[in-house]
Amino acid sequence: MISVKQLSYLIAAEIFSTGILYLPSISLKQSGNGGWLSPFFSLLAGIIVILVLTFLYQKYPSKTLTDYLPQLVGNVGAKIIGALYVLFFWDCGLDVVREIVGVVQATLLPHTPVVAICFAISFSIIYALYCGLESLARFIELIYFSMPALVIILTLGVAGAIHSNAYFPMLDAGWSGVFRGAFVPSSWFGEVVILAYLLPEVSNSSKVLSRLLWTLVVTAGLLSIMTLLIIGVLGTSEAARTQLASFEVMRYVQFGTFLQHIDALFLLPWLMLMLIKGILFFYVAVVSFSQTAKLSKPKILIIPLVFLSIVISHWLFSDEFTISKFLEIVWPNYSLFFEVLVPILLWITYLIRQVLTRKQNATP
Amino acid sequence: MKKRFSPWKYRLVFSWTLTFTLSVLITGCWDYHELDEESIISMFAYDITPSNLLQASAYLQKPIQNSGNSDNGGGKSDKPEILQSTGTSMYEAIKNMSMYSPNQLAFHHHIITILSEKFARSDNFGDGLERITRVGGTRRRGLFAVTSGNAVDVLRLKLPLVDNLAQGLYSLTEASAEQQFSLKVDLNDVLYDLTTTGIEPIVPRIVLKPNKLQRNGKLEVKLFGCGAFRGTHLVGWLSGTETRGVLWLRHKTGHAILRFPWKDGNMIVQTEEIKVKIIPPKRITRINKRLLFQIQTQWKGKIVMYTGHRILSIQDIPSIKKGIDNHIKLILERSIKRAQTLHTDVIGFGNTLYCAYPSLYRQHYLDDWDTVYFPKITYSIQVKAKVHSIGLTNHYPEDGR
Repeated sequence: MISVKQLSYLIAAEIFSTGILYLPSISLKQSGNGGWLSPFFSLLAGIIVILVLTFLYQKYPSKTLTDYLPQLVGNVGAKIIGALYVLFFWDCGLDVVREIVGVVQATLLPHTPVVAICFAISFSIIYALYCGLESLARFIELIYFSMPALVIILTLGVAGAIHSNAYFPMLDAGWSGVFRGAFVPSSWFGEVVILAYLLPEVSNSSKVLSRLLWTLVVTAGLLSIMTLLIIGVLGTSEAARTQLASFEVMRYVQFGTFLQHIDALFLLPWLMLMLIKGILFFYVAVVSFSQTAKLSKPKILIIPLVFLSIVISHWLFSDEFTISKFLEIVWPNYSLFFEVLVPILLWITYLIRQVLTRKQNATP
Repeated sequence: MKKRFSPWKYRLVFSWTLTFTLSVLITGCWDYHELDEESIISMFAYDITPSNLLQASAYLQKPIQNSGNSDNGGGKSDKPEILQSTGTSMYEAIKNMSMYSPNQLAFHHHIITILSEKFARSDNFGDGLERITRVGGTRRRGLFAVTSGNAVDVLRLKLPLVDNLAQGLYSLTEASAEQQFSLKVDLNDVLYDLTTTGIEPIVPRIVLKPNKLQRNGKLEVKLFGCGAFRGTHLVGWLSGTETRGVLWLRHKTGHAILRFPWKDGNMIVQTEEIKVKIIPPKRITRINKRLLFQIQTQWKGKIVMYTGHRILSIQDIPSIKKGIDNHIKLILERSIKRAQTLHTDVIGFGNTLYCAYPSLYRQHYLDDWDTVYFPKITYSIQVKAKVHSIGLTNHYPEDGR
């Protein structure tokens, strides 16, 4: 069992790790210099998912999504939806692995073969999965401070290099731009859908709703500050042109003439947060698979799932261009279906069933 | 009873730990390289050869030199090397350079890039920026400078009392920027100006001239003035004074020394703070060919020298302020006129207009701002000077007799 605090750190790491690296280049193309507002609109997707999942969890306590699906959509429907969620979570995991590999290769290890990096990451993930969710939750307690720390270091390191006129004219792409810029990041906030499998693992779920909502708001705030800094240092057009804008800004950080080249301070915590995200997705994929297939020993799935993901990720994303286009174009539409639409449909189904049950009970 | 691990579980844990550790250690091998085998490029110089090829020159240092330590003690080190190569593009020239160096070329400690005038006027500068940002080896803190002669000549200089030329030029740039006769511009500043609407880049100018005190024809260097760009092309030069005006108009404050005639001598004042605000024209409803901008300036500083023979008193302050007002106004006018003559808005009037009227600017002014509208803008300058100290004395030394 994990605590509510640990759960909120895990959720923050899950959203922050992708957002910090990809939000500026993806969002600013649409939102212009109002891009710093986009995370607050993306947040809405996460809030909806949390409200729906906690509602369903209250109705079906101590049960995962796979457990209560048969009561909502019948056995056949439950098997189909459960299987689709297994594929979705497993796909999320392999996407994360591929993102990590791409960034590590582009920034730290340009000459190292992708397969070698993949294996190193996969072994870490497999080991963490064998250790279990509790170990991961204890680990996040050790490193969660790196999220605000990254933002603080950036703020202090680039404070003198900010171009104040980069923020004017205010909202140069208009409110519509801000909304358009919020679309892709909303899929990252929607990733809180893993709560459908994590909530039963929480020891005391009385304060879980308020805690998770605050987590989302704080994460959106951190991402917003990051985006503000990036706009101020690079300018909107340059930030949108740069693939890893936050990393570029971190490379720009300099304290006097004595402290510079502190890129590792960005990459190290980012790598850990991203690994946690990957581990979470694989964990949920393993749990959902074992529950859907009714396996007694879920751990036997760990190695095949992770290693298969290496092969598939190579097959799906042969180059950097493919993964960035996937994240920008395919991912939001596809993921929001599983993250937001399906939970909402399940919630509506629950309500309809309730009404029908009441009607049936009312008729003599 | 305490549950015990079976031996096979120990073996599993051990094998996993071993595999994980090895995989982490082995992963870095492909990118492993010894520091001793690196050649750090601290400066780059780009020229165009008479046969129109691009010539890249690199100022190479070993890491041990860069750190200021060496085995032979006393901080002495071997002389830095200059490596040259040519190519049809910047990418090719740099790639060719690696063929002449047994060591691996490292770009991450790069300090300054010097462009020759011919290079900066060509398309190569834009191509170079594209290459630098795409490959990403160079940090955005790397400075830029432009010189009217051959850029490679700067790499051959010997600065007084400085072993590391790159660090020396860096310090010179900072000193000139403080005096506001020139400025400090890094890759990020250039890219910011290039990608921001209504403002064009400026890059500091390196001036080389023979040292009059030395007979062996050694060159001395100073950073004075700047090169004005339109997009990625150099279009002309701004003098030190004109650069100072442009910097003020770009809201860059420094400690510029101003000298102007006052009464029977010269008054020299030191700037402590200067704030310039450009106010865009009010109520634009259609294309105005002559746009009127208001420039409001607030100057704050102190008197550091007076060569006349008057005893300075509190009654003189308004007159000194007026002198400062007129002097600043003159500098600002000269800077704006020069930029207008060069047809490049290095000041950012266009950006001010864009911030006030974004859609109108995009619709009517965006494409022809530098060449059609900016040269015709009008402006009125208001200066408000504040002298807060006349120094520790009130008259010329010999007048006390």
